[in-house]
Amino acid sequence: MHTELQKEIPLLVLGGLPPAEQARLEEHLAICPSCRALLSQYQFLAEELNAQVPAQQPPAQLEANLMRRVSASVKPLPTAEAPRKPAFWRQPISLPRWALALAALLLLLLLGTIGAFAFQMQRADGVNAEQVAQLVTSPDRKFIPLASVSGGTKAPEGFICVLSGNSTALLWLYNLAPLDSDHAYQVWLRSGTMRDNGGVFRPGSDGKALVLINAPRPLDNYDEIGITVESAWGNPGPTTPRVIGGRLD
Amino acid sequence: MHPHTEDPYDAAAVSDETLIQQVRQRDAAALQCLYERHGSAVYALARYILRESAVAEELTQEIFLTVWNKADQYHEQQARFRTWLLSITRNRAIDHLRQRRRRIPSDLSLDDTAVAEEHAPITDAIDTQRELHLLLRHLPVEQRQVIELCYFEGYTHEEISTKLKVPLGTVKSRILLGLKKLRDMMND
Repeated sequence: MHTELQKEIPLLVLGGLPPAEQARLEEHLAICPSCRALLSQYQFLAEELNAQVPAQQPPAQLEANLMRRVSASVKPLPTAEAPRKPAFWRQPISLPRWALALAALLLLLLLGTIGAFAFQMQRADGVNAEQVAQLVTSPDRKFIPLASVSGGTKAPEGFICVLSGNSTALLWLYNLAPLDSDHAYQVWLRSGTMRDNGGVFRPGSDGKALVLINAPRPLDNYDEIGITVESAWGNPGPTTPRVIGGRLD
Repeated sequence: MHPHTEDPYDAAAVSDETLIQQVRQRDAAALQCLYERHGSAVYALARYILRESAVAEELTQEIFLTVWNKADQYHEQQARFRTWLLSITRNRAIDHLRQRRRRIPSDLSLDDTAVAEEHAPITDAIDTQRELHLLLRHLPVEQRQVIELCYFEGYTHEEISTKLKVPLGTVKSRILLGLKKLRDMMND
């Protein structure tokens, strides 16, 4: 029985067996490790059949069409030309959000970390006031100063507020150079040789930005943060030198 | 100022798995990078199966829009990204062929010459493009043909038997012989 079924195992990977025969083989596979091992060899072969088709370059306009459709499904970032979004505390918001946002801001002011700056929330997906409040009110939060590469009095400066074990962080920057509508600042988080994208943002006309980062992993897993100027939608990896950054460990 | 560690800033060093994570965060540039890496393989496979450029282009776009909208369906632990991508390409292309066959029932007839050449299934001659398959070209025509019909056109063994007018057992043994030969070739 086993030998008879084993002979037919390769047929499973290509498909085309009658349902009853397929069910019989699958039942046998569930109890037979050697047949499962054989099956995985043939599964690898089937994958190779897909991969060994001679390569063919698709027409050039296909990429442009695809990216147009993708862009159409993404909420656009605010640009210099677009009407400016009012500062978030001036937006009509419900009482709980307002209360939380105010509490967060008051605390930041008390901590002496933001002085009298007025800044704008610039994340494309908006800043969640609850997350901001949770971050800045936690006794375990840590403020890490960031430094620019260029130095000088008008060089970008800022802080990042992180909470141990938390993948959300608050980034506050000022003296950022204005960007045209085709560019944005992009946040990078590096851990060893791995690098994650922390999102893109644009500063206000006053060069200030408050950005909520939702990283793939807790912030204390990263060694370093860096910010570069990239295309408006961001790039898969940094393409320009770092504007500002700092170590997170 | 903190010491600055220079990052290589090399997009080519970013793995597919990192890019797909970025796609999950709605990073269009990461999708574009994946397209530039794998678009030609997806298009080649789609065109190989569908044998129609316009439909293959449409399918290629559809596949990458699936990556964009349903990146969570890919699980790093189960397969490499490229393997997953090509597997969904084959499945969608075969679905398309099956729908086409339902619309053109005479497709199963070897004698039907009314079907447009580009839409024609493999009959007893493998077309020029298919002869170029980097693995299958090493097989005798009759083994390559049944594997093509089964794997790249989605025919059942019974349908192949009817189509080629050979017994069902012959279809199976040709597939088994062909697969075994390919496996031995890959193991060498």
